[in-house]
Amino acid sequence: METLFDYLTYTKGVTYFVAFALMVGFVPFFLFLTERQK
Amino acid sequence: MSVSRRKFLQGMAAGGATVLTAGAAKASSIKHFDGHPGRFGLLHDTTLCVGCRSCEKACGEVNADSLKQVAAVTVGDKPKVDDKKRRVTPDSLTVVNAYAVGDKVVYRKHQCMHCNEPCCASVCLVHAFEKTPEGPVLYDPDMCMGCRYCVTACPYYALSYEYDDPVTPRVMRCTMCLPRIREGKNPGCADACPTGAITFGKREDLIEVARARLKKSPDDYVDHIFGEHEFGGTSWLTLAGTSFPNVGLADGYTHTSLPEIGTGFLSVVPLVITIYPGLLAGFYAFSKRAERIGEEKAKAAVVETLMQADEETKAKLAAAAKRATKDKEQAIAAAVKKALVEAEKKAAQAAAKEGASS
Amino acid sequence: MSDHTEHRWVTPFNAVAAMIMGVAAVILFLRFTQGLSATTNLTHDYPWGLWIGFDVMSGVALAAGGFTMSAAVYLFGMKEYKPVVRPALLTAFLGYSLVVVGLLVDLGRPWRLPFPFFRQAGPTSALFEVALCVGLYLNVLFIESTPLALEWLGFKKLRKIVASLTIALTVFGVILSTMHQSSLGALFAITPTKLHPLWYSEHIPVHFFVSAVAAGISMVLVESALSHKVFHHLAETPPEQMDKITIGLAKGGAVVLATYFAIKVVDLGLGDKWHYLGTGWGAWYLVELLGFVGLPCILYLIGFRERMPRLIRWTALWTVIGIMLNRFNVSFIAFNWQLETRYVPHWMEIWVSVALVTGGIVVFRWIASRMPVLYEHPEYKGMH
Repeated sequence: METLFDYLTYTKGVTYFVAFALMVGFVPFFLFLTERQK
Repeated sequence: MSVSRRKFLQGMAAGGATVLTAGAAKASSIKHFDGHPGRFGLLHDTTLCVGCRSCEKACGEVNADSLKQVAAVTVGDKPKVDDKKRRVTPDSLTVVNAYAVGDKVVYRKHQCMHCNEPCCASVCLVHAFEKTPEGPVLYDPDMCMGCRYCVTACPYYALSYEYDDPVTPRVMRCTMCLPRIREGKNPGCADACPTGAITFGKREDLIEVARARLKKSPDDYVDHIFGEHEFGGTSWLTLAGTSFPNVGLADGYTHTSLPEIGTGFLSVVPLVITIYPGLLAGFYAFSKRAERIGEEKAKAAVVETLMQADEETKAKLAAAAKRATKDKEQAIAAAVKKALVEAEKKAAQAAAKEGASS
Repeated sequence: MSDHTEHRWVTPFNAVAAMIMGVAAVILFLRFTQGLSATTNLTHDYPWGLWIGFDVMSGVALAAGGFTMSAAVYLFGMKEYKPVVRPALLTAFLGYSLVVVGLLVDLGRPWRLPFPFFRQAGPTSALFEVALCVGLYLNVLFIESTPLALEWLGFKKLRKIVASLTIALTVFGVILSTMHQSSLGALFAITPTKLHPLWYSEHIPVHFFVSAVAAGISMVLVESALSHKVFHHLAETPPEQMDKITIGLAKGGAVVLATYFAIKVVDLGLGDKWHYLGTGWGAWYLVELLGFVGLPCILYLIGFRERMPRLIRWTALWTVIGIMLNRFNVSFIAFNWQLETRYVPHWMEIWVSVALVTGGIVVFRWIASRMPVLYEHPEYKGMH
């Protein structure tokens, strides 16, 4: 990677996927956390 | 770019984590990007420009195939200071404008500056722009949606749009004559310039050339190479004998590149995605808790009321029972009294009878 | 509800709406056969005009009522505002749909709208972020407003499934809204030399987000005032309770506008922009800041303290106009402030924007007069 633009394209693209996966992962985490209460 | 999104996805499919960790292992925490080494550029020396518009004509000729319409240019028909300032349009990818500086006229050529860190590329949501290793920033009309964000964002007003085309409108810009560069030729404008005001070469060499000119005749120039650092630097460099705002280029543009300024906030986006679920779950739990405590309080109040009511009833019952017993006792007493009274009466009557018969 | 709502087709309202839409159809025909130059005053210096400044920038901000109200009721537990959630969500859904329609009209090649998601993504672009979030949020809003249709049609099972998703959808909606409301401001974070310094700020995304919340609350007030006037026979909530809700929303509006005012003033300090206030641009900026942020904030405050629902409703309209003015300022009035050329919208641009709003009102009326928007369906009372 020679330009900042290429670097940003790569990192921001990856982070979109990572962040989205983490957000979806929060759902089972939250359900596991609150299951016992019910 | 070396790692495209598509390649990244393939990498994810092939065994994602390795791709990410391999990248991280190579990179240090501080990033610095100098751009493609050995890339080309052009130098426009406004002190040599006579405003003959040969470059405009040559530009139209060499790009005739890709333009829908080519603006008619007469070489030697110099732009006037009082003219409305022209800008690049889809039928003329470069224009020369005249600026009055004292009693002198200065001409400056306008076209895409081919930024080192192109702002048009970083704002494109379909990645239709590419900073090529040779230096030019290229546009891909087959990907473009026509949102015109690039035209909005360009700080040099160097892009234009084909508004009159309903089906295949394109963003138009100077290509630095990349096909000619790849053939080993100079860009059209550089070859056409009769006074040597336009020089083509490797950007690093052009900076040396410019420095040499500034050093050789410091009285003719302002000691600044426009495009060396402006917004991360540009491929087109400009020299002038007057301060740059006089020729339509703001002095003092920051050295930070626009992609860096413009995308800084986007780093907050993944933070929002990852912080909000927990944060909002917290708010939700908080309101639920308040609701639950409220409900419990209400329940307790009901129970207490019921219990109070209970006690009252008991007391009433007890009182009633007491009253009942009292009544009964009274009744018995009354009955006894009555019986006694009657017995007395009977005894008295019997005594009277006995007295009368004896 | 068909017992006491007559659906007549030939009414003065429908006639005017049909006229507006008919002319708009002709304009759109021109636009798609002759190009943008035939119907707009867009230039190479002003590639974004009314269709971006109003249809997209203002449209998205004014539709913020959906996420604001659903977050207040479902996440923050402010149950008393429940009667306004449904109309707010429906308004938001229609608003975002119109944003997409407006965008399709403005895009040079609208048939390529799926490109950023399915062909090639440009993740460095704020516009990519906006497109992604608006696309997803439109789906969220669609699901959130399906209970109206499902109750109307009597699909109980589906209705139950959607109800069980309420919290998850609300959270997702708040995330998406925070992101794209601020990213709409971030579109201009990359134009420090073109947008006037008084409007440009490195924190412009935050300004956009906070002002969108103010716009959302105000739009809920405007929308509920109008719909309760038109559909008073359908509205279940008694006027006294609506007034209570109005007064409560005014309190929220005052706080948000005060915050917005504060961060705008802070920005003057951070960027040392005080001296611009003395210029012509500064006067125009003060009109916006004092007249359309400070003034409605104070009016909301008075309306809340003195219990004046009428004042609050007019203030809400004023705030809505103010936020629109801000979006116009950013997208074309204070944009290119150093250039001599200015952009004035073509009458056809204005006509198409008016037609979009008209279309939104027509669809809202159609739905509100048939489906349980302003009242709770008798079979689903007490549920959400």
